[in-house]
Amino acid sequence: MKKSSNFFKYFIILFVISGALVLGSFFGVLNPVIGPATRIVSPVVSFFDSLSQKIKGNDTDLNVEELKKNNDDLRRKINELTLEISALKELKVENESLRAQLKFSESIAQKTVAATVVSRDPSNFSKTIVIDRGSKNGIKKGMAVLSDGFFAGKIYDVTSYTATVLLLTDSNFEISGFVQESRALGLVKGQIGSGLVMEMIPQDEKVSINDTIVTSNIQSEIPEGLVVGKVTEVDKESQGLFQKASVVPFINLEQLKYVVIVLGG
Amino acid sequence: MKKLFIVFLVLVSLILEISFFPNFKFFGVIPNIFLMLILAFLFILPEKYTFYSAFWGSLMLGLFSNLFLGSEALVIIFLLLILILSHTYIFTSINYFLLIFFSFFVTLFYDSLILIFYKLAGYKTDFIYFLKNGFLFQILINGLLVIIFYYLIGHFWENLIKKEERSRLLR
Repeated sequence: MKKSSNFFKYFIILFVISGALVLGSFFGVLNPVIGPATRIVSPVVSFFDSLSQKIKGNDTDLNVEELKKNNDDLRRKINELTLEISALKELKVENESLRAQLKFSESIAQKTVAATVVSRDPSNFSKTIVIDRGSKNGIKKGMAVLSDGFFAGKIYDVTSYTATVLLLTDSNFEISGFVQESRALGLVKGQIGSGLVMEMIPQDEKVSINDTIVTSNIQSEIPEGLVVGKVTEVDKESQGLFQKASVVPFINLEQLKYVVIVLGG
Repeated sequence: MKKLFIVFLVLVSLILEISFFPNFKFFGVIPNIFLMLILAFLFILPEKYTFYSAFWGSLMLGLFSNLFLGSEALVIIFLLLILILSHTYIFTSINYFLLIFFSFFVTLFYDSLILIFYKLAGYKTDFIYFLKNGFLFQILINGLLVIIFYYLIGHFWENLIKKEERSRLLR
């Protein structure tokens, strides 16, 4: 193999351009370019992403038997929920009358926008996904992202036509939450590896295995009551002020295909 | 034809790395298929093609990662310089053992440098955890990939050049 001696020329030119791009991206100068560029490439990447999901067997479109079974399960669930709704309606009437007496403002319905997962971060160091909706669709940094009604993560970065979602299981993920059963507050964090951990739960609070963890409204962009996961292990440190719990999300975050972003009221 | 062949390989490797392998992780690890392709290119193609493939490919990779655009390109271009210098002055002849050594070196340095960029971007990562859990599988898969690429692309590239020379002579 014959090598020419002008490799240093290519190195200098491309290294300087790459450095300039990093600086441009850091100062946000490239944002108007990155958004449309990602938008152009996204359909191709998204197509291959869904194709690989189908090959892996995560796409239910292919499995008719499973669809029938899911349909039956859902019908049964609808019957159960119909009964529950009627009971809740009664409670709502009671609640409204109590709110009126206490002069509470009405809760505001949340606006949402649906998005398709375009790609997953190809590095081994972070757990993020890119979705095909951006600031042009009203998406802002910090907004909650749901999948199948469960909390999946929050918006980490936004361009005009795409957004990056930081998944619950990423080690940079942190959110305040509480145990639905005992109302005990804590800090839910993504763990390096997999899963979640809920820390800073006061020792005197009751936390049990299979308890449900939901979001609290301490962070303004994340609505209260979004279901995060269930407790699988409780670690009560005998001499510590706090206890911690291992939490597993209800959804498989590795297989997300469609998500919903909560835009707010 | 040569350029088309290179563009095709770069696009296929990027699609596999961005949208295919994140769904098919090997022991929780995504192989650096694009990086290994560039490593194989380095020992087969003229460096002009290698540098341009590395630059444009890593820019596309950067569109779907959390880092500032150009970070991957900066790292890969820098690694290419080190590899070319070591290939020119130290390891002048290439063999499969050396390819595996280079793939180990490139994987380690690429991950370390990318991690520094993550830290600079204010992102929490744990390289020690990754070293303990996924790195061994990553270097094994990457080593295997670079050998396959080197053999197949080298073979195809030689045929392409022979064909071009033959058609030139006929003209």
